[in-house]
Order: sequence, then structure tokens, then C-alpha cells
Amino acid sequence: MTERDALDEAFAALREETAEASKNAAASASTTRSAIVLDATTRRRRSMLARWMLPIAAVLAASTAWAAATGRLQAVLHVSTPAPETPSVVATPAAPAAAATAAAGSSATSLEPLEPAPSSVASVAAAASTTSPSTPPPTSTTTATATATAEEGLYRAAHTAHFVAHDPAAALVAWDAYLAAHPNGRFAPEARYNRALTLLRLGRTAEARSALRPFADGTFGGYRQKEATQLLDATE
Amino acid sequence: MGASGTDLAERLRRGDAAALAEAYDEHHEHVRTFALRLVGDPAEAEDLVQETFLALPLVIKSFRGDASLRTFVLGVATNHARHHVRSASRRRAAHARARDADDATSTPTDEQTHRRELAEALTRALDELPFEQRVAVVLCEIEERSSAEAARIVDAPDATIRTRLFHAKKKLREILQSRGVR
Repeated sequence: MTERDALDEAFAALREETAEASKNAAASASTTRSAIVLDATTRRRRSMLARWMLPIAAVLAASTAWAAATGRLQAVLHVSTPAPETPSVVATPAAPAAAATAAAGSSATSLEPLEPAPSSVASVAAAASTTSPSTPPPTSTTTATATATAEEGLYRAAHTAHFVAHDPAAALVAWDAYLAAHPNGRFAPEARYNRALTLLRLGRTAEARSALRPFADGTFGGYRQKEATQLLDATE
Repeated sequence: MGASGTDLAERLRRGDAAALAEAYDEHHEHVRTFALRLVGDPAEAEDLVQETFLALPLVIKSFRGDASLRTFVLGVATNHARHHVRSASRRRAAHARARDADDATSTPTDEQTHRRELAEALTRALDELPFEQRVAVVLCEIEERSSAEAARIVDAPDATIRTRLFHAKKKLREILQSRGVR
């Protein structure tokens, strides 16, 4: 056989071998199709969310900040939301350990954590830093208040997407927005935990497990430690 | 390109998830076979198929419509193939070293085994070519496309493809001869 023949024969061999292998790849072809369609659907929803929800959240945050800066927010809070009457209510959203205690009776793999209702976030957060539950929210500096209200606005938007709209893709973007703006914010542990849950709902198990790991390891004390451990076990 | 191809491309541009599924159903077999031939490893090839179709909605805006959508998709696959080829090539080299250490003697084989060994020998020889020459060989010799069609896929002049092919085949002959492939 000449050298040219050997090369041509090798071309033919590779052509036939790969044609057969490709025909036998039906199972992986189906898996790949599912992954592609899922990704495209999620990406489209995320894009729609970015187009509509984030500007709304930004406007909400900006208007809340403006209201706080001009003193209007304080007036609204005093009129519409009385200060909480018991210290336990005050501690719930701001102290992860207390929230963990409250959640101890919840289902092992439940994706619905106990969370402060969106409408109570502002008043609860403002009251959390005070020693007396009946003391009005602090009004030390305008800048601090504006930052706090902007944070509450972002949290509220994420909370609504997660618990009211039940839209995990929208919630994920909103939780990310909150955490990007306030990585060490007052609601950061809650936001991180809820973000992990939305990742689970979206089927992004590996990322969800990474997000749950710090809770199970006790990075946030006892907050959601038990639930995170159970979710990690369940998704192994 | 047909009206259905234009329509599909337009729907892909709009981010229509159903259009992506349709494009996959229509072209995945060709892309998978090409990927397998180019990369030489089923798992890496499957990754390349997935990467190609995931990238499609992002790159479809550069689709001008002067070639078929399949040609465009194969071009996308080519553009994403380089690191898959490198990765598969490294793995093959490691396996070859291990196999050489295990079994230095050759045994008589049947026709089918001979064909598989020949295909493997060619794939390993392709690993020694520059990426562009490898693509030219796969498109023109393995897939039996014309140099003009290959040129459209890789977005290069026809003459460049023919030159790459000429040098690639010369080097492949040398490699196969040096390895005693008959």
C-alpha cells in the first residue's frame, strides 16, 4: 500500500468510525437538547426581568432614598407603620440566630423560609438597632437613612419576586442585585439563603449547594444551619 | 438560504427559545459529527455541541444570510472548538503514553479493529497539526466538503483553505509513515 493510500484509508476510517459514533449518541443528544432549551428559557426570563423589574426596583430605591433625604419617609413611616410592640418581632429579620430558632420547626427540605413580610421590612429594620421597642427609628444622619432605605427597597423587590410573584429567575436577579449593593447588609444572610433556594428551584443544584455550604458550616452561626444541612443531604 | 432558514435566524435574533430548539433539532447531527471528527473525543464533542448552540443566540446577529444557517452553525462550532481540541489532545497523549508502556507488541487484528486503530492513529496525527490545518482536513477530507464550502464555514479565502490542506496532508503522511501506519 502506498503512503497516499494509507492516508486516504485513514481518512475513510475516521469518517466511518465517527459517523457511527455520532448516530449512537441519541441519549446524550437528548440531554444536551434539554440543557440548551432550559438555558435559553432561563436567559430570556432573566433578560425580561432585567428589562422591567430592575428599573422598577431602582426607581423604588431612588424614590425611597429621596423621600428619606427630604424627611418625607419618616413622616410616612410614623403614620403607616407603628413601631413594633415586642422585642421578639424586632429581632427576627435582623438577627439570623433568632430566625433559625423560629425556623426550627419547618420542613426539612422546604424551600419556603420564614421571612419578614415585605411591608414590615422598613419598620422592623429601623427598629432593630434600637434597645427599646417603642423608641422611634433613629434619625441620626440623612445619608445613613438614605442608604438604609435604599437597601430596604432592594430587599423588598427581591422579597416580592420570591414570595409574592414566585418567580425564581426574577428573584435570583433581585437577590443578586441586593447582595451586590449590600454584601454585608442587614439582610445579607437572609438574602444569601433565599438566593440559594432560588438556585435550587432553577435546577442549578451545584451552585445552590455552594451557596448553602457556608450555612451548613456555621458561617452564619446557627442561622439556617439545620435546613442547609438537610438540603445538602437531599441534593447529594 | 431558504425562507425557513431566514425565519429561524430572525426568531433566534429575537431570543425565541423555541427557535433554538428548532435549530438544534435541525442541525445537531451535523454539528455533533463534525465536532466528533474535529475533537476526536465523544465527551468533549458533546460539550462543544452544547456550547455551540448556547452561543448561537448571542452570535446570530453576525449571520448575514449569504450562506446557509448550517454553515453558520458549523462556523460557530469551529470558533469554539480550539480549547476542546487542546483538552482532548492532551488526554489522548496521556493515554497513548500509558498504552505504549503497557503493551509494546502488536497483535493481528480483524478488519473492524484495524479501521478503528487507523482512525485513532489519524486522530493522534491530527493532534500534531496547527488548529487551522486540522479544521481544513476535517472539513475537506473527512467531511468531504469543497474548499469553497470550507472557506465559507471558517470565513477564510478559498486559496487559504487549499494551502492549509496541502501542508496538512504532507505532514500527516510524514507522521503516519514515521509511526509505521500502513
